[in-house]
Amino acid sequence: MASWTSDVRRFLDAHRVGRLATVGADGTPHAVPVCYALDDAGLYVVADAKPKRGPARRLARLENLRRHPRAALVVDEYDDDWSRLRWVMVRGPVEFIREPTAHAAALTLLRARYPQYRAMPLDDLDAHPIFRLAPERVLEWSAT
Amino acid sequence: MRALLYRAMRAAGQSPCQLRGRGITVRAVKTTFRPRLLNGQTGDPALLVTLRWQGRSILIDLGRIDRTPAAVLLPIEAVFVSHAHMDHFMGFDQLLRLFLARDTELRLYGPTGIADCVQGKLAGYTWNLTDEYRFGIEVVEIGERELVRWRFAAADRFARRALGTAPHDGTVFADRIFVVQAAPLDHKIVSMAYAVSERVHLNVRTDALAELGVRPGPWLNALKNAVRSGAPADTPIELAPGTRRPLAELRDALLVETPGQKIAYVVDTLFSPANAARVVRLAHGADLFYCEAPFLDEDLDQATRRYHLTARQAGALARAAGVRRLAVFHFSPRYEGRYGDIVAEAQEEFTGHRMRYGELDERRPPLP
Repeated sequence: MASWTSDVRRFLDAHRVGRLATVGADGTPHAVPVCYALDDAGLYVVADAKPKRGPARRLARLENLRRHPRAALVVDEYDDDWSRLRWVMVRGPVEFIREPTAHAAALTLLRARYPQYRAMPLDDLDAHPIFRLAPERVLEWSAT
Repeated sequence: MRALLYRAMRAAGQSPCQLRGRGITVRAVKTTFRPRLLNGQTGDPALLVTLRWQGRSILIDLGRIDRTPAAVLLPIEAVFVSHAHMDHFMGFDQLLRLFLARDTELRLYGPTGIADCVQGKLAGYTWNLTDEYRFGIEVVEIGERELVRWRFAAADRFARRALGTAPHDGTVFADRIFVVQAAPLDHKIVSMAYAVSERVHLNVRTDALAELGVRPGPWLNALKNAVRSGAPADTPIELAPGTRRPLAELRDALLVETPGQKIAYVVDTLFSPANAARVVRLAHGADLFYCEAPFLDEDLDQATRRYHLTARQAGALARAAGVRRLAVFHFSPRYEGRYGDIVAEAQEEFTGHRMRYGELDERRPPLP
């Protein structure tokens, strides 16, 4: 079971947005900012109810992951003082959460981090899929 | 009487219909495991599981135990610690004090790092007069895929000695009567969950006792133990001084196998997808599921921030794991005067039935 170091977990806990990279059917890279929550097995991202062009379950990132279930996600800290720059990149396999109790648990974690999610009806796991990105490889970089 | 028998069998995880359909009468079924929360639902976690007729006990978690009589604690042969937060481990000193001058060995299981905690505890005392003592503690650290064993002997002034490692696939202890499985849960640190399973339950046919013209007695336990240990068919079993019969004859005539009892124990854990999957796998089909429920769902945010379960989440896990009975505990003192609400919330989520106040006690069969 790959998991986080306590330092990385603290960093991911303390930040709010990650940039998720997936690969399209023709190999085109796709990157999008996402909200996430985590436990010791990975990061969880939900296809939420923010305004979108189509249904959440048909998002390009999800279609990409269904075809090619691997992703990278980077969380970064920018400061004009470049001695304080830092990022963490998580790479690994992606798995959609199909078990209702696990889906409810992932939503609990996401709602604890983002109060905005509490007002969104996300409990239907077909309409609002949640996937887990497992930390097969965790890369860290800091300027100091 | 029949109702009592069936109730006991249900508690033991056995189906009366199954046996009834086979035209068999068994003795009033007594479960092998007798579990008891030493500090109730509100005190420090410490679940004593006594093996009936065996004179053996195990303890799951080691919160304060100073209010438990020594006679109750002395049969303990192994302790399974979830993690070393104080309310789960402060009973170590009390157990050590009780066992120190005895000619015995205590095994202590816990997550990786528990040996450091044991070493730290032992380092807090002076051991210059224990050279003659035979007491020792074997500590087993449950890693992801291997068990790491250490020994601390009183005669050695509790110096830490490595005993080696062994691979494991989730089963951390096994003997001829029961097995213990472990699953690491995320409490921001590892909090180990445990399941204790009886290998097989051996029931005695009372009708056959009469047919054979023999009277029940301690020899029945000797017979069961011989069967469990795979003794040869012609092993003589002594029914009374001078009266012996071969094992196979007695076994075939008297014993009926039913699935063994299973108790699962989960404490201090985050309601997360990974934990939910681990708990469901570990507790699957348990007869009795001890699950923490420190918070009510109205305090969901606080529960999540503190990496604990709410009562509703405990009920959902129990339902998903398909357990027979749920026993919630480890209540936060903030709910003093409202503990019934915790139980009701957990049971409602578990069974889908909203209980009225006091109904639970009327409906609940006694603990086995």
